[in-house]
Amino acid sequence: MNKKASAFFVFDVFIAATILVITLTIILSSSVERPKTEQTQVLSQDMMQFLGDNKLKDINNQKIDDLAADGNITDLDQSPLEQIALLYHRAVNEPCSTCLNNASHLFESLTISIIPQQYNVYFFIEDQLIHERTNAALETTFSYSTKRITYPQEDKFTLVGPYTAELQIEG
Amino acid sequence: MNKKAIYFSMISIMLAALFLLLFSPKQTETTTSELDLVSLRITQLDDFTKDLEEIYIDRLLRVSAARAIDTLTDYVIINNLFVDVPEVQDEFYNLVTDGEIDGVSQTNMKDTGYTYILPELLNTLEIEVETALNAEITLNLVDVQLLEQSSESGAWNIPLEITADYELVDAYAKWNKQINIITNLSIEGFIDPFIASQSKLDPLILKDYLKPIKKSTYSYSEWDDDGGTELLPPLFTTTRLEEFIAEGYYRHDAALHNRDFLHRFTFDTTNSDCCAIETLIDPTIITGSTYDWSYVDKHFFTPSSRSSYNCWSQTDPDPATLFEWDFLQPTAYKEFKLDPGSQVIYGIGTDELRDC
Repeated sequence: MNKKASAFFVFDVFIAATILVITLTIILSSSVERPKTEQTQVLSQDMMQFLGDNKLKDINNQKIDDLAADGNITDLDQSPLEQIALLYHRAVNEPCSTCLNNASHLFESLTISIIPQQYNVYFFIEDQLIHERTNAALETTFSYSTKRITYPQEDKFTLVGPYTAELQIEG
Repeated sequence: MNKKAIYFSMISIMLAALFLLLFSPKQTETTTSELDLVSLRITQLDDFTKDLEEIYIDRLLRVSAARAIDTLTDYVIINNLFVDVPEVQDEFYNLVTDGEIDGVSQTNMKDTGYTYILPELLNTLEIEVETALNAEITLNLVDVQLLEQSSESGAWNIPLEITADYELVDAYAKWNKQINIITNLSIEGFIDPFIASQSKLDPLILKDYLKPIKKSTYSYSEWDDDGGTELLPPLFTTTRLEEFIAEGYYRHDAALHNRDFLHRFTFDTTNSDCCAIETLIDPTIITGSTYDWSYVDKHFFTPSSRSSYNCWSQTDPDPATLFEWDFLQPTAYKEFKLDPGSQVIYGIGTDELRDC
């Protein structure tokens, strides 16, 4: 009688453990995607903040030095975002065939080591695609974009814009 | 006994139900997604308000003010200097708020397709916010002022103050705030209004007065290297002086007795305690004959102070004969002269000259 009773207890423990394991598995497996989404949001927001809040003169970057040496960057007090928007402005309003290319390379040089290669990256100024980097192996499951308005200055007396910049990251 | 044997199952079922209730994937995802969207939207608009307060308003003010200062310089070249700084401040206000001086619209405050009048710039920003962020914003200019220069702003900046209201409305939140910003605008790059105006006010004919202000690279101590010991070349060098004249440099230091930038828009010749700037007139930009007075800006164009060049005339020797200016290079600079006090300041005179 005691043996039979203990067998019931052991059997009951197995059933209880199974119920708990199945429950925890359901709960934990259902929230696997969340951290990746949040990471993309943070990455996109931080990247846009980096591009808009720093001055070109404070960033150690060979592309900035090259563009300044070529005369394509004349004011190192501007932010990278303002400079990219200024290059876009010149491409649209002046006969500047290299401006969009320079804007793309400047964006790439500033972000290549910060945004992991696994993501797709798209950067727009006023809906004009400035830079695109895609990962063929990526199966896109989510996308996040950050927008920021920018007001570049051509010189002390001349303002251009406002232009809207948009950074879109897909993962 | 059999009933007791299902206690564990019962407890685990209750725990499972509790866990599912607390961490139900569907329920959590839905709630979190909604919260995420609201949170992201508020973060996005909050970031915009920070940019508005820290970047956009400041940027709009600076460019509008730069245009206004440039327009005021054009005005004094064609008309007269202003009576005093408050009049300059009033006209500055009229320019940045209406684009007018004396009721006349000034073309310099507009470009092709672009206007630099502050209320219109704010209106452009309102439209961009609506398009880019899909939010409604109302921006109102409350006040804008050109402030007097002070030790806080320094000699190389003019201080500006702006007060503006904004109301940003979205489905999830509302921002309603008044902002006040004081910022400094560098005077480098502006034309000196006093010198520019002299082509109109002075009978002298000048070839090129429209040189933008450039800060001298030499500190006061560097000027002093040559002074105080020897008077005549080649025992001291004049390289700095020649470069200063050729480049049209301006300098500021405690030794100067001259006006600040804003007073250069006016007839008020009061020296500034904090923010005096000074330049030397390039002899090559003057047409006509030679002038027997100091080429420091304030003496050159101010008849009452020209006599300071001859302040040694009461004694012997007279500096005009004592000092041979032919040593300056290029030779076109041989007509250049400095009053004795300035000879010390510019490092080519002895300290005995200082109080002359």
